[in-house]
Amino acid sequence: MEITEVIKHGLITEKSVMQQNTTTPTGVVIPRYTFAVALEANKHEIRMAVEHMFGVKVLRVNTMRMPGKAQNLRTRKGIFHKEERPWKKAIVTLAPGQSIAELQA
Amino acid sequence: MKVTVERTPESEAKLHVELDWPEIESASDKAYKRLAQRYNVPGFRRGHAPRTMLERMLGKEAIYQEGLDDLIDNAYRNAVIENNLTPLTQPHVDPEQSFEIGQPFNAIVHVPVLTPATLGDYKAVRVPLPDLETTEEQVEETVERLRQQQAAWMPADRPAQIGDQVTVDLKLDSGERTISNLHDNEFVLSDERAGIFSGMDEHIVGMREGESKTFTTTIPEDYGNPEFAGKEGAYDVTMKAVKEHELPELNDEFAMSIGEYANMDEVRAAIREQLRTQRQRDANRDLGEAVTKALTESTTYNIHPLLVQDEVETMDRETRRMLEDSRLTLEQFLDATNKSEEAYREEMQPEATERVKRDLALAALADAEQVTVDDDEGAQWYEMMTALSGRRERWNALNASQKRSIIARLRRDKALDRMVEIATEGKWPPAPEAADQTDVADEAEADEAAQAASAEANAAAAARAAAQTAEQADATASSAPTGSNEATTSAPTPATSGAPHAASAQGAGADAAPSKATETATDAAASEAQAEE
Repeated sequence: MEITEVIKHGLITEKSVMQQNTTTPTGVVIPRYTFAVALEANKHEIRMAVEHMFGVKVLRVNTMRMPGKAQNLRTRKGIFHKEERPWKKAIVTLAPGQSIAELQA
Repeated sequence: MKVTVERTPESEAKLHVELDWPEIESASDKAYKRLAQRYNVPGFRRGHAPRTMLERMLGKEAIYQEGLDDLIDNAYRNAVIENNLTPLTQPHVDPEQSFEIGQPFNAIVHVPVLTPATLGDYKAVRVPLPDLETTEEQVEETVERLRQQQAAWMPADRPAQIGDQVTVDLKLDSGERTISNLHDNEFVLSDERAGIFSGMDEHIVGMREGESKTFTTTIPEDYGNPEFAGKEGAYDVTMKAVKEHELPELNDEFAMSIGEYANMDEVRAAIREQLRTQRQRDANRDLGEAVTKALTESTTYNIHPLLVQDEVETMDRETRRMLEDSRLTLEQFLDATNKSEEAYREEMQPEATERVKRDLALAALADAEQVTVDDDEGAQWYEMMTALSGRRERWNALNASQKRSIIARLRRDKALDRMVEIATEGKWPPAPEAADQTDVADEAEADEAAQAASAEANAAAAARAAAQTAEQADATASSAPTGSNEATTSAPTPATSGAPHAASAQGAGADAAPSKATETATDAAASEAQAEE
């Protein structure tokens, strides 16, 4: 798959911001950044994409499939069924000391 | 932070606030924490969004601005407390330069403030003591009035006279139009009838029961409806009954009929007592007015126009409330009195200024004489007043500013009493008379309370009557004789006492100084007078 199609966008949430700054007991910062990626992308492609886009060294990629959640909407016009699409989340660990300015909070 | 306060001659305060950067920085930190709580940033719980996220959302300047506002607000509050200012409105902040990150910031805060009045030589004010004597004539006059009220209408077999009550069938035509066609209409003959029926009575005088008569009159030129003004009115009148006013004799029976009195001596004694308290009340009010006038004249003021404006608003509210009681809107009232809203407001200006002056002078006097009113007194007064007007309300249900304003008002009342004391060299209020009068006095007090309670109702009734008069001015006249009739016969009858009712309504509560009841009553009287014009 095309390398430009791999990363959809970065995620900045309370949890992801926390992970950006996790330190080991010895005091080394191990930065981890979170992305929403294409469902069919694999870890290799994600590593390539991040390294090329942000010019950083990636140590490890963890991925997970996020379920598309379904919900029923009861409105005056009737009951509607709504399903979100499933998606893939990737948590990318960078080499210590590196960072991605665009996702820094 | 450096704050310097400057007072301008226009009764304004100018605060120069100088802030340096570290202060602004730390204030913006606090502001960020507060803002974070307020805004919902997706992906973060409330209050947990990092500052950079919030800055991205609101802009960097917004957070600093918030911090700045806090600082200026604080500076302003402290300055108000430290310099003992009484602001009249919200302050207006005037930045001296535009805000830049990393730079110190200066601003000027403008706020209109209350400038306390400077008392003149108030201790030198003297007013003459009022005369409290009641004469026998006044007593007899009241007795006579009572007699009039108790009088019954008795059939009279004689020609009708002025002052008689007649029952007639009456038809009034002007040209082709029938203005009025009444059957069995009762009214009292009077030689001062105004309006469309003027001139009618003199023709009716002399008619006996059963007689009929046709005659013409000229409707006055100044009559409200131009269709009829200055035209001929042709009457066709049939007399149904003539009744004369029979005055009751002044004996024990009469004394018993008007209340729980055994004989006329008791009635006279009660009336005398009533008149005396009445006079004292009037005198109290007059003295208060005289003293206030002297006081305001000797005092120098620096009044901000806003104060007068506020007072005008208060007066406007009072008028509206009063009108509401008589189911009128202000617009209808203005229509009836032929005034524009601007003119109406303009008219209130001088009185509003006077009121502001009075309040300021009395407040200053209270300071000078160290008059104090505590919370309990306020509570007592408030609960008594609300109980009198029929709805008991609790002092503690009021908020702090309402309480403050009531206490300030009581304090002014007390100051006025003190001023009266100074001006009369302690000879007023007069010492109560001998102890055997206490019964009557108690009765009078109870009476007074009842009247105060009904004063509002009376005022409303008076205003309603005034409104009706105003409406009738334009009516196609069929109700005019009935209207005037009502006005004569349904004059309010006092409960047990002999004093003229309307007057006591005005005087009621004057003892406790400018109470709500007094104001309403006087206002009502004023509006009545206006409407009658």
